[in-house]
Amino acid sequence: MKTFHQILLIIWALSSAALTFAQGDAVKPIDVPVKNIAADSKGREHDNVVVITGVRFAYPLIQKWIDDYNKINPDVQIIIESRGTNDPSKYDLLIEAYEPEETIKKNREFVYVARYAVVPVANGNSSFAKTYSDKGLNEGLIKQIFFHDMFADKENEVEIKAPFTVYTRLQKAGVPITFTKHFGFQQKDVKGKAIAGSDEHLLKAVLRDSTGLSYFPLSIAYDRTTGKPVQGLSVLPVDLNGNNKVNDEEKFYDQLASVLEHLEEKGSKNHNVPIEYLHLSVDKNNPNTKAVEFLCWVIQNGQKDLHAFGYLLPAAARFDTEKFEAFASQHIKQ
Amino acid sequence: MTKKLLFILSLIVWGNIALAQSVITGIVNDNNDQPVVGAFVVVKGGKTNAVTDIDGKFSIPAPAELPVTLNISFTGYKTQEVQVYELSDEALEVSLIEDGLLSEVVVTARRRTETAQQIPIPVSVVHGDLIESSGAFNVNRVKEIVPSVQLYSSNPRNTGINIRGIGSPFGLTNDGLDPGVGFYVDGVYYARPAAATLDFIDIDRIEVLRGPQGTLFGKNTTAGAFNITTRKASFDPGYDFEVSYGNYGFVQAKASITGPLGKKFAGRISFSGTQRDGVVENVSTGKYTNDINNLGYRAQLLYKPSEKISITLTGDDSRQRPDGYAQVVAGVVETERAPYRQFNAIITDLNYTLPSQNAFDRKIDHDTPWNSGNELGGVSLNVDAEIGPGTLTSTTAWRYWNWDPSNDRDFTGLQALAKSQNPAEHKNWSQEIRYAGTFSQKLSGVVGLFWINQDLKIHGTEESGRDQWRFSQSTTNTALWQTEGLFDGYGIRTESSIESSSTAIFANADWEITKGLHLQPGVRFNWDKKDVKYDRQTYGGLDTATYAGSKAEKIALQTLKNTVYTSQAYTSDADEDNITYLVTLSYQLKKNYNAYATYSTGFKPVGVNVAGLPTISGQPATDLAVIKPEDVQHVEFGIKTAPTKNSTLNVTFFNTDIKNYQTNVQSPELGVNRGYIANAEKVNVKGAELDANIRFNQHFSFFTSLAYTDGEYVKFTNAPLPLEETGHVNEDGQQQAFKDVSGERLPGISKFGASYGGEFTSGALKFLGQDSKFFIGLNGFYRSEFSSSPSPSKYLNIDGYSLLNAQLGFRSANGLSLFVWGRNVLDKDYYEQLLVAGGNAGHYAGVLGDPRTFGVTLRYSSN
Repeated sequence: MKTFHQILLIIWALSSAALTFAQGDAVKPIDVPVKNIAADSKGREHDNVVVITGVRFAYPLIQKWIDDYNKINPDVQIIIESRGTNDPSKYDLLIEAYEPEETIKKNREFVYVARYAVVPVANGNSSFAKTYSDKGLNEGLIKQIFFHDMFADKENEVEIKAPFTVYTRLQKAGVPITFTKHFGFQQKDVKGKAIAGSDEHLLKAVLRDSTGLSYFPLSIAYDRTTGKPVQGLSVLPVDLNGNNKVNDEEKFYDQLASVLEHLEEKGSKNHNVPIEYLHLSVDKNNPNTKAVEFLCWVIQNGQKDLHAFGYLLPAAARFDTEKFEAFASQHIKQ
Repeated sequence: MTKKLLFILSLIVWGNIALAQSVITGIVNDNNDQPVVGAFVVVKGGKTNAVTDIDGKFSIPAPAELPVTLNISFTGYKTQEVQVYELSDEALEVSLIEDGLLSEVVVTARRRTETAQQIPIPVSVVHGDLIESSGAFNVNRVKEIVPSVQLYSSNPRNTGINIRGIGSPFGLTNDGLDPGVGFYVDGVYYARPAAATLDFIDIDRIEVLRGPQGTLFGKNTTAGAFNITTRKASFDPGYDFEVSYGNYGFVQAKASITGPLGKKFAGRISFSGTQRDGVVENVSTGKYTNDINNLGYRAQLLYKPSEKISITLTGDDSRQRPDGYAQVVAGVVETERAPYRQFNAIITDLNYTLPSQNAFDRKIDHDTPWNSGNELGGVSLNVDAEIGPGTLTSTTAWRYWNWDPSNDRDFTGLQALAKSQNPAEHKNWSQEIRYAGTFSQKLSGVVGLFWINQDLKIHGTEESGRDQWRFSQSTTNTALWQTEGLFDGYGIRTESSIESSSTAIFANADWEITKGLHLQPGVRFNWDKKDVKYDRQTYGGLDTATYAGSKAEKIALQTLKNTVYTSQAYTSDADEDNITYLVTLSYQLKKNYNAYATYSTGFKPVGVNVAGLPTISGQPATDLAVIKPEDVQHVEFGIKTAPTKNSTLNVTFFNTDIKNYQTNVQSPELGVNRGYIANAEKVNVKGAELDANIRFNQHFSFFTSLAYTDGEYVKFTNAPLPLEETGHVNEDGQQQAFKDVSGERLPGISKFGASYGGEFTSGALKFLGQDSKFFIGLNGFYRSEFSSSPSPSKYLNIDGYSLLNAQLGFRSANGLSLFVWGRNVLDKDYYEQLLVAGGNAGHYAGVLGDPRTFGVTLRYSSN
């Protein structure tokens, strides 16, 4: 028996080496600093473990909050389940990027913690980027470029000389839902090549294709260390005031801070940059109290990080801390 | 502890193995969230594929390395590309969007990529898959799919391609005339119409542009153009292998392989070979003739130094070695010559009977073998460079054609016209440089420069045999006609050549004046020069100088020989320049309704006679050595519509007037039995065409093309006599060689033509263990009665006929396909063309349409 296991061990070593070799040029792991520990129900038996899952583009921000929280609460182990799961029994905190359905609202207590904006982007080397970084995109052009529209008025379509290839997410996800809904479409209506993977994978695909074109939340489109668009990517200005033109004052996409400032200032008067809320939720009836505590901490302390990570502050009317804190008071052990 | 560790490690081993054998699962729905059954899921660049099941689900092994690209396709839907960057437990949900392919057929007719429904040009597009599945392997078959195309071919040399009845003169080819239908393969001009008889090799699509296209193409498009695109070398590996077997010993093999040859190089090699036994029995030799024996190769090397530059070097060679193109006596006409000069009287005197009175018995007894050695090939270098808002294209080509025939043009077992053959060598260089693109939101266009130099050398032989005396006998007052050996071996050898150069500058623009209203002007400057040398010398036959008879008899015998052949030599040259233009106004009436109107002029270069001149009073009629260029005036109105997203309906009306129409005149004079060229003062062709396609759903699709064409000689006062009027004497007792055919119809034009077809395609099935689809298709062709005589004849008319083709089998886009096909499944007997035998004795021969052919094709493809 021992020999058998030794043979297995050798096979394992060889197959691991072979797989490593085979994956030489393959996709590298996503550059998101998460503790990738599988969550299971046993983990949740420990009082000090909180499992978080949900939209992945928010993980860097969440991780920052976890790190800061752990500095003052080192005993609490907060884990991001990066592969995602639909089973509520396997997570405590759920991050979502689009308005929750009524059934979810009924079962979960949630708080809108931030807003994210979705902007059109192009591979920085593309002739499309060179042309439209200056010209910008109006609503008609965005619809023409991104969507299958059998009812579109082809007469009004603009001739686009620069070659482009639209990339989009395949799986149902917050960003594509927000983007498509804003323009009156569904995710399945987006043209182009579909990426089975995350927003980060979508970014890779666009950067690989010199004609690549897509849409990203600011947190993906901008490098938070430089505050500029990710190297090799151009963020395309859009018609914000709805006059069908892109005026000079609407071209402010060189710096993330500038984008956030303009979009927050523009508020609901913005026409062509979809903005949606990011919200966190816990089970309404049987919440993990450590998760509730963490969320309370986020409400109190998390807002200062939003701009740095590419998020807009939530509107005061939606940032209902009192409601959540009232809920929390019922569940947190004193 | 060690055991426990080993056990855990072993689990990890199997985890690893499981990962290595992971699968990608998914579900494919349409836009209404209904499952798409039978969609093909293919790993790009790999061998694995899958087909969606009844729930639209698929499962496909995941390669070890990610990302991997899946192409998901299904008839009637746009192909969806999915790049899988990570594996998930959840099935991928893929939505396929119904495609408007019917209205999005891509063409490059205007030298830039557009959709067929966009451009204000009547264009028919035949895709490679239709060509392949319908058993059409050369242009001669394509004419049954596009009814506006006529192709007459008594052999590869004597092939004329016409569109709407015009383009090439009806009858035998005269090398001194330019064809009016341009034949372009990947932008390279194919100067010889013989190319139309060669097997297609790796065809992606054929665009048939109807009407003058001189402001878009470099050469010879007064009637239209064939713009053929072949499959290109690709960096994605792929291959196709195909073999077909059929009746009459039909065997056809095709192969094509493409793939990368490095980071910046890709290649493609293609091969096609076709063999078939003869379908006409030669009862004298016991051999069957009119077989097929074709081989063709094509190789492409693509060099792509950057995203914006593509350089393609292409070489091709195609050769035919058939015992072929025999024509069968189809009828005998009583001419207006004396009774003793009628065909039946002649053959009675010679104790000869035809092997059959019915041409469709497909029997001949010809004593001269029929061979048609036909070889075409060349090398071309194409450079595409994206510069600014457009693409600069340079196409340099060198091409050759070698023609080596043997014909029996008396069409009998008699030794009358024992030899009649014109071996030829043709070489040409051509260079085209053009810049095409979209220069602003309102302006796009093309400007180009084309140059071609052609060198043609002909080594002709016409030779009489022992029976010629009776065919040539034109008097009964002397017995010298029967002099032993008078015409036996008597002939002419011809050395002739044409050197020609042609230069053209052309430009065509598309300017959007206001929303939906486009003005498309075009202009062309053309310069042509042709130099002809013609020298024919008699040889053989009875040596009258040494004949043992009186001087008067010697002179008389020589006179008789001169009535058959004389030596003739002349040189001629011509050059001509011309400016022609085009104006098109198009307007998008409403969504998917595009109307257009075009006025254009065209120009077909000056013609030079290179097949001999008729003699007048014993002297060559040198004023016929050069004939005038054609001037074309063309008006067209059309509308292209897409009434529904799954259908298109296009209608066009046209009127073409041609001054100095270049035509071939058939002469009873044996020295010019191939005819000589002349100008008809004016001809007119008008008509209407309708093209409709509809795809009802994933399974059923139909198409039809209807053509009404009415062509007439508006004025042609010196037309040749039809066969039955040979020997006509006017009221003054003067022999007539010409007649006025003004107001009469043009040859080769059916008033009505139609192509139609439909196909049923099933959902996914398992066939021979692989995912496939069953299909059954029918397509038909009809043309009404038409004249097969340059001057209208009572006899040389071809009845209308219908052909029905069918195919059914299993088809796989990526894997094995197996299908059976039948062409002319109702075994209709029909003539393609009728031709008068040399000397106008009264008999004429038919080019027989193929009988029913059927076979099976096995194809293996990998995309």
